[in-house]
Amino acid sequence: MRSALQLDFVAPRRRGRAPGIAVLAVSLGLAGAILFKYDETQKRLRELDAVQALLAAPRAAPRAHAEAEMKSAQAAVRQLALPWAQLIDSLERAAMKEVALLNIQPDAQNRVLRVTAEARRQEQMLDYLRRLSATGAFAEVHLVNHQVREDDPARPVQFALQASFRGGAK
Amino acid sequence: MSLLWPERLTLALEAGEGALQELARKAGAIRRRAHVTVVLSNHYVRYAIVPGGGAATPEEELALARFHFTKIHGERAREWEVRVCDGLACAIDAALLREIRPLFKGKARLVSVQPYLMHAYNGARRRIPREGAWLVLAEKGRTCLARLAAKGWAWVHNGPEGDVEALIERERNRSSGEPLPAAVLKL
Repeated sequence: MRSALQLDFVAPRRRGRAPGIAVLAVSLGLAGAILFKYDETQKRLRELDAVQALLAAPRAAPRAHAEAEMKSAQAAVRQLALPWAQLIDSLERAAMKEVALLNIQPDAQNRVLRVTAEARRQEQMLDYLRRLSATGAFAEVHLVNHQVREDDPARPVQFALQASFRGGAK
Repeated sequence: MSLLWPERLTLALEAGEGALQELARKAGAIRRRAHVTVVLSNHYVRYAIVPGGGAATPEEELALARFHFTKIHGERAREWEVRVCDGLACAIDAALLREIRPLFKGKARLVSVQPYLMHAYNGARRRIPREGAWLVLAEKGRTCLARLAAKGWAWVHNGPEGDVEALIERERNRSSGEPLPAAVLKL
Protein backbone atom coordinates (compact mmCIF):
# COMPACT_ATOMS: atom_id res chain seq x y z
CA MET A 1 0.00 0.00 0.00
CA ARG A 2 1.18 3.49 -0.81
CA SER A 3 2.06 5.87 2.05
CA ALA A 4 -0.32 8.66 2.97
CA LEU A 5 -0.03 12.01 1.29
CA GLN A 6 0.86 14.74 3.77
CA LEU A 7 0.02 18.18 2.36
CA ASP A 8 -1.66 19.62 5.44
CA PHE A 9 -1.55 23.40 5.98
CA VAL A 10 -2.36 23.20 9.70
CA ALA A 11 -1.29 19.85 11.13
CA PRO A 12 2.45 19.48 11.66
CA ARG A 13 4.25 17.30 9.18
CA ARG A 14 4.50 13.78 10.49
CA ARG A 15 7.97 12.52 11.08
CA GLY A 16 9.04 9.18 9.78
CA ARG A 17 8.61 6.09 11.88
CA ALA A 18 12.33 5.36 12.12
CA PRO A 19 13.15 7.87 14.91
CA GLY A 20 10.12 6.68 16.89
CA ILE A 21 11.15 3.06 16.54
CA ALA A 22 14.71 3.96 17.57
CA VAL A 23 13.44 5.78 20.69
CA LEU A 24 11.18 2.82 21.50
CA ALA A 25 14.06 0.37 21.12
CA VAL A 26 16.34 2.49 23.35
CA SER A 27 13.54 2.86 25.94
CA LEU A 28 12.87 -0.89 25.97
CA GLY A 29 16.60 -1.53 26.35
CA LEU A 30 16.83 0.91 29.25
CA ALA A 31 13.72 -0.56 30.88
CA GLY A 32 15.25 -4.04 30.58
CA ALA A 33 18.54 -2.86 32.09
CA ILE A 34 16.71 -1.15 34.97
CA LEU A 35 14.63 -4.27 35.63
CA PHE A 36 17.77 -6.40 35.66
CA LYS A 37 19.47 -3.95 38.03
CA TYR A 38 16.37 -3.89 40.24
CA ASP A 39 16.34 -7.68 40.43
CA GLU A 40 20.04 -7.74 41.33
CA THR A 41 19.57 -5.08 43.99
CA GLN A 42 16.66 -7.03 45.48
CA LYS A 43 18.82 -10.16 45.63
CA ARG A 44 21.67 -8.23 47.25
CA LEU A 45 19.24 -6.75 49.79
CA ARG A 46 17.96 -10.22 50.68
CA GLU A 47 21.55 -11.39 51.15
CA LEU A 48 22.32 -8.42 53.39
CA ASP A 49 19.14 -9.08 55.40
CA ALA A 50 20.19 -12.68 55.89
CA VAL A 51 23.70 -11.67 57.02
CA GLN A 52 22.25 -9.07 59.36
CA ALA A 53 19.89 -11.63 60.86
CA LEU A 54 22.88 -13.92 61.51
CA LEU A 55 24.86 -11.09 63.11
CA ALA A 56 21.91 -9.94 65.21
CA ALA A 57 21.09 -13.37 66.69
CA PRO A 58 23.86 -13.60 69.36
CA ARG A 59 23.01 -10.14 70.61
CA ALA A 60 19.62 -11.35 71.78
CA ALA A 61 21.13 -13.32 74.74
CA PRO A 62 22.87 -10.38 76.49
CA ARG A 63 19.76 -8.39 76.00
CA ALA A 64 17.64 -11.05 77.71
CA HIS A 65 20.24 -11.17 80.48
CA ALA A 66 20.03 -7.40 80.94
CA GLU A 67 16.24 -7.61 81.16
CA ALA A 68 16.49 -10.26 83.87
CA GLU A 69 18.91 -8.06 85.81
CA MET A 70 16.59 -5.12 85.45
CA LYS A 71 13.66 -7.15 86.81
CA SER A 72 15.75 -8.31 89.75
CA ALA A 73 16.80 -4.72 90.52
CA GLN A 74 13.20 -3.55 90.33
CA ALA A 75 12.17 -6.32 92.77
CA ALA A 76 14.93 -5.27 95.17
CA VAL A 77 13.78 -1.65 95.01
CA ARG A 78 10.20 -2.74 95.73
CA GLN A 79 11.41 -4.84 98.65
CA LEU A 80 13.36 -1.87 100.06
CA ALA A 81 10.35 0.35 99.63
CA LEU A 82 8.20 -1.81 101.99
CA PRO A 83 6.85 -0.09 105.13
CA TRP A 84 9.07 -2.19 107.38
CA ALA A 85 8.61 -0.06 110.52
CA GLN A 86 4.82 -0.21 110.32
CA LEU A 87 4.97 -3.95 109.63
CA ILE A 88 7.14 -4.75 112.66
CA ASP A 89 5.13 -2.42 114.86
CA SER A 90 1.90 -4.21 113.91
CA LEU A 91 3.44 -7.62 114.53
CA GLU A 92 4.65 -6.47 117.99
CA ARG A 93 1.26 -5.11 118.92
CA ALA A 94 -0.41 -8.38 117.97
CA ALA A 95 2.21 -10.48 119.78
CA MET A 96 0.98 -12.94 122.42
CA LYS A 97 2.90 -14.86 125.01
CA GLU A 98 1.25 -18.10 123.84
CA VAL A 99 2.09 -17.65 120.15
CA ALA A 100 5.62 -17.98 118.79
CA LEU A 101 6.50 -16.65 115.33
CA LEU A 102 8.58 -19.13 113.34
CA ASN A 103 8.92 -17.35 110.01
CA ILE A 104 7.99 -13.97 108.51
CA GLN A 105 8.05 -13.71 104.73
CA PRO A 106 6.99 -10.46 103.07
CA ASP A 107 6.12 -10.55 99.34
CA ALA A 108 6.64 -7.01 98.03
CA GLN A 109 5.46 -7.88 94.52
CA ASN A 110 2.02 -8.97 95.72
CA ARG A 111 2.10 -6.81 98.86
CA VAL A 112 1.32 -9.69 101.21
CA LEU A 113 2.95 -10.97 104.38
CA ARG A 114 3.19 -14.69 105.05
CA VAL A 115 3.65 -15.70 108.67
CA THR A 116 4.32 -19.17 110.09
CA ALA A 117 3.71 -19.48 113.83
CA GLU A 118 2.99 -21.91 116.60
CA ALA A 119 0.31 -21.60 119.30
CA ARG A 120 -0.30 -23.71 122.34
CA ARG A 121 -3.93 -24.13 121.57
CA GLN A 122 -6.27 -23.61 118.64
CA GLU A 123 -8.19 -20.79 120.43
CA GLN A 124 -4.95 -18.87 120.85
CA MET A 125 -4.24 -19.23 117.13
CA LEU A 126 -7.64 -17.73 116.28
CA ASP A 127 -7.09 -15.02 118.90
CA TYR A 128 -3.78 -14.11 117.28
CA LEU A 129 -5.47 -13.81 113.88
CA ARG A 130 -8.03 -11.45 115.36
CA ARG A 131 -5.36 -9.35 117.09
CA LEU A 132 -3.36 -9.05 113.89
CA SER A 133 -6.48 -7.99 112.06
CA ALA A 134 -7.27 -5.44 114.79
CA THR A 135 -3.94 -3.64 114.36
CA GLY A 136 -5.43 -2.08 111.17
CA ALA A 137 -2.19 -2.49 109.23
CA PHE A 138 -3.59 -5.32 107.12
CA ALA A 139 -6.57 -5.32 104.85
CA GLU A 140 -7.17 -9.00 105.06
CA VAL A 141 -5.86 -11.62 107.43
CA HIS A 142 -6.64 -15.25 106.78
CA LEU A 143 -5.48 -18.67 107.81
CA VAL A 144 -3.77 -20.61 105.08
CA ASN A 145 -3.35 -23.90 106.95
CA HIS A 146 -2.94 -25.29 110.44
CA GLN A 147 -1.97 -28.61 111.99
CA VAL A 148 -1.47 -30.10 115.45
CA ARG A 149 2.11 -31.24 115.94
CA GLU A 150 1.64 -34.79 117.14
CA ASP A 151 5.39 -35.31 117.57
CA ASP A 152 5.47 -32.73 120.42
CA PRO A 153 4.12 -33.91 123.79
CA ALA A 154 2.59 -30.45 124.38
CA ARG A 155 0.73 -30.88 121.01
CA PRO A 156 1.01 -27.24 119.84
CA VAL A 157 -0.80 -25.98 116.72
CA GLN A 158 1.46 -24.90 113.86
CA PHE A 159 -0.24 -22.55 111.42
CA ALA A 160 0.40 -20.30 108.44
CA LEU A 161 -1.43 -17.08 107.74
CA GLN A 162 -1.41 -14.54 105.00
CA ALA A 163 -2.12 -10.85 105.43
CA SER A 164 -2.41 -8.16 102.71
CA PHE A 165 -0.76 -4.78 103.33
CA ARG A 166 -3.17 -1.94 103.63
CA GLY A 167 -2.71 1.25 101.61
CA GLY A 168 -0.24 2.16 98.82
CA ALA A 169 -0.36 1.13 95.22
CA LYS A 170 0.20 -2.45 94.31
CA MET B 1 -20.84 9.95 19.69
CA SER B 2 -18.69 9.91 22.80
CA LEU B 3 -18.90 12.87 25.15
CA LEU B 4 -15.31 12.32 26.21
CA TRP B 5 -13.70 12.46 22.82
CA PRO B 6 -14.17 15.34 20.44
CA GLU B 7 -16.21 14.66 17.36
CA ARG B 8 -14.31 14.52 14.07
CA LEU B 9 -15.87 16.75 11.47
CA THR B 10 -14.90 17.34 7.87
CA LEU B 11 -16.10 20.53 6.19
CA ALA B 12 -15.53 21.43 2.56
CA LEU B 13 -14.59 24.89 1.35
CA GLU B 14 -16.39 24.95 -1.97
CA ALA B 15 -15.60 27.18 -4.91
CA GLY B 16 -17.41 30.36 -5.65
CA GLU B 17 -18.60 33.50 -3.93
CA GLY B 18 -20.02 33.13 -0.46
CA ALA B 19 -18.11 29.87 0.14
CA LEU B 20 -16.19 31.32 3.10
CA GLN B 21 -19.42 32.67 4.61
CA GLU B 22 -20.97 29.22 4.22
CA LEU B 23 -17.95 27.68 5.97
CA ALA B 24 -18.25 30.29 8.74
CA ARG B 25 -21.94 29.44 9.13
CA LYS B 26 -21.16 25.71 9.46
CA ALA B 27 -18.35 26.41 11.92
CA GLY B 28 -20.63 28.63 14.00
CA ALA B 29 -23.28 25.91 14.15
CA ILE B 30 -20.94 23.45 15.90
CA ARG B 31 -22.22 23.03 19.43
CA ARG B 32 -20.24 20.00 20.64
CA ARG B 33 -16.51 19.73 21.09
CA ALA B 34 -15.11 18.86 17.66
CA HIS B 35 -11.87 18.50 15.73
CA VAL B 36 -12.46 19.96 12.33
CA THR B 37 -10.77 19.18 9.03
CA VAL B 38 -11.33 21.64 6.22
CA VAL B 39 -10.97 20.24 2.72
CA LEU B 40 -10.14 22.86 0.12
CA SER B 41 -11.70 22.74 -3.31
CA ASN B 42 -9.14 22.45 -6.10
CA HIS B 43 -10.18 25.98 -7.10
CA TYR B 44 -7.95 27.26 -4.29
CA VAL B 45 -5.01 24.96 -4.87
CA ARG B 46 -2.11 24.81 -7.32
CA TYR B 47 -0.25 21.56 -7.76
CA ALA B 48 3.16 20.87 -9.22
CA ILE B 49 5.47 17.92 -9.60
CA VAL B 50 8.84 18.62 -8.00
CA PRO B 51 11.59 16.18 -8.85
CA GLY B 52 12.77 15.41 -5.34
CA GLY B 53 16.08 13.85 -6.31
CA GLY B 54 18.10 17.00 -5.61
CA ALA B 55 16.74 17.67 -2.13
CA ALA B 56 18.50 16.14 0.85
CA THR B 57 16.21 17.36 3.64
CA PRO B 58 12.48 18.24 3.90
CA GLU B 59 13.48 21.91 4.18
CA GLU B 60 15.41 21.70 0.90
CA GLU B 61 12.49 19.89 -0.75
CA LEU B 62 10.18 22.72 0.37
CA ALA B 63 12.57 25.40 -0.90
CA LEU B 64 12.75 23.58 -4.22
CA ALA B 65 8.94 23.49 -4.40
CA ARG B 66 8.73 27.23 -3.66
CA PHE B 67 11.27 27.91 -6.39
CA HIS B 68 9.24 25.75 -8.75
CA PHE B 69 6.02 27.69 -8.10
CA THR B 70 7.82 31.04 -8.46
CA LYS B 71 9.24 29.85 -11.78
CA ILE B 72 5.76 28.96 -13.09
CA HIS B 73 3.56 31.66 -11.49
CA GLY B 74 6.00 34.51 -10.93
CA GLU B 75 6.27 36.89 -7.97
CA ARG B 76 2.74 36.31 -6.64
CA ALA B 77 3.81 32.80 -5.64
CA ARG B 78 5.89 34.38 -2.86
CA GLU B 79 2.64 34.96 -0.88
CA TRP B 80 1.64 31.32 -1.07
CA GLU B 81 1.73 28.65 1.58
CA VAL B 82 3.54 25.69 0.07
CA ARG B 83 3.58 22.05 1.12
CA VAL B 84 5.36 19.14 -0.50
CA CYS B 85 5.23 15.40 -0.08
CA ASP B 86 6.66 12.59 -2.20
CA GLY B 87 7.48 14.98 -5.04
CA LEU B 88 3.96 16.46 -5.18
CA ALA B 89 3.84 20.12 -4.19
CA CYS B 90 0.77 22.20 -3.55
CA ALA B 91 0.21 25.84 -2.75
CA ILE B 92 -2.61 28.08 -1.55
CA ASP B 93 -2.87 31.79 -0.84
CA ALA B 94 -1.60 32.52 2.66
CA ALA B 95 -4.50 35.01 2.95
CA LEU B 96 -7.00 32.18 2.55
CA LEU B 97 -5.48 30.33 5.50
CA ARG B 98 -5.60 33.54 7.54
CA GLU B 99 -9.31 33.81 6.77
CA ILE B 100 -10.10 30.20 7.65
CA ARG B 101 -8.29 29.99 11.01
CA PRO B 102 -10.40 32.55 12.94
CA LEU B 103 -13.64 30.81 11.94
CA PHE B 104 -12.89 28.06 14.42
CA LYS B 105 -12.89 29.00 18.06
CA GLY B 106 -14.51 27.69 21.21
CA LYS B 107 -15.63 24.10 20.90
CA ALA B 108 -14.58 23.73 17.28
CA ARG B 109 -10.86 23.24 16.89
CA LEU B 110 -9.27 23.42 13.46
CA VAL B 111 -6.91 20.46 13.23
CA SER B 112 -6.35 20.23 9.48
CA VAL B 113 -6.65 22.23 6.28
CA GLN B 114 -5.91 19.99 3.34
CA PRO B 115 -6.27 20.08 -0.43
CA TYR B 116 -8.96 17.96 -2.00
CA LEU B 117 -6.37 15.77 -3.74
CA MET B 118 -4.80 14.80 -0.39
CA HIS B 119 -8.18 14.04 1.14
CA ALA B 120 -9.33 11.94 -1.84
CA TYR B 121 -6.01 10.16 -2.32
CA ASN B 122 -5.63 9.19 1.36
CA GLY B 123 -9.15 7.83 1.33
CA ALA B 124 -8.55 5.74 -1.80
CA ARG B 125 -4.89 4.73 -1.55
CA ARG B 126 -5.75 1.14 -0.58
CA ARG B 127 -7.38 0.53 -3.95
CA ILE B 128 -4.73 2.19 -6.11
CA PRO B 129 -2.90 -0.45 -8.19
CA ARG B 130 0.82 -0.90 -7.56
CA GLU B 131 1.68 -0.06 -11.16
CA GLY B 132 -0.15 3.30 -10.85
CA ALA B 133 -3.35 4.88 -12.10
CA TRP B 134 -4.96 7.96 -13.53
CA LEU B 135 -6.69 9.74 -10.67
CA VAL B 136 -9.68 11.91 -11.53
CA LEU B 137 -11.19 14.54 -9.23
CA ALA B 138 -14.20 16.14 -10.82
CA GLU B 139 -15.78 19.20 -9.23
CA LYS B 140 -18.27 21.67 -10.56
CA GLY B 141 -16.25 23.80 -12.97
CA ARG B 142 -12.98 22.09 -12.14
CA THR B 143 -11.14 18.97 -13.23
CA CYS B 144 -8.05 17.63 -11.55
CA LEU B 145 -6.27 14.76 -13.22
CA ALA B 146 -3.13 13.16 -11.86
CA ARG B 147 -0.94 10.40 -13.20
CA LEU B 148 0.44 8.21 -10.48
CA ALA B 149 3.25 5.97 -11.73
CA ALA B 150 4.70 2.94 -9.97
CA LYS B 151 7.47 5.17 -8.57
CA GLY B 152 5.24 8.05 -7.52
CA TRP B 153 3.59 11.22 -8.76
CA ALA B 154 4.40 11.74 -12.46
CA TRP B 155 2.06 14.47 -13.64
CA VAL B 156 -0.79 16.60 -12.36
CA HIS B 157 -3.27 18.84 -14.09
CA ASN B 158 -5.67 21.13 -12.25
CA GLY B 159 -7.76 23.31 -14.53
CA PRO B 160 -11.25 24.30 -15.67
CA GLU B 161 -13.76 21.51 -16.13
CA GLY B 162 -12.68 19.47 -19.13
CA ASP B 163 -13.05 16.15 -20.88
CA VAL B 164 -11.05 13.60 -18.88
CA GLU B 165 -10.58 11.28 -21.87
CA ALA B 166 -9.17 14.10 -23.96
CA LEU B 167 -6.84 15.16 -21.14
CA ILE B 168 -5.57 11.60 -20.73
CA GLU B 169 -5.07 11.29 -24.49
CA ARG B 170 -3.11 14.52 -24.58
CA GLU B 171 -0.88 13.39 -21.71
CA ARG B 172 -0.40 10.00 -23.43
CA ASN B 173 0.93 11.77 -26.51
CA ARG B 174 3.12 14.13 -24.49
CA SER B 175 4.78 11.43 -22.42
CA SER B 176 5.57 9.02 -25.22
CA GLY B 177 7.91 6.27 -24.20
CA GLU B 178 6.96 6.23 -20.49
CA PRO B 179 4.93 3.28 -19.20
CA LEU B 180 1.42 4.63 -18.66
CA PRO B 181 -1.16 3.23 -16.24
CA ALA B 182 -4.24 1.50 -17.54
CA ALA B 183 -6.54 2.13 -14.59
CA VAL B 184 -8.59 5.32 -14.32
CA LEU B 185 -9.89 5.93 -10.81
CA LYS B 186 -12.56 8.51 -10.10
CA LEU B 187 -11.92 9.63 -6.54
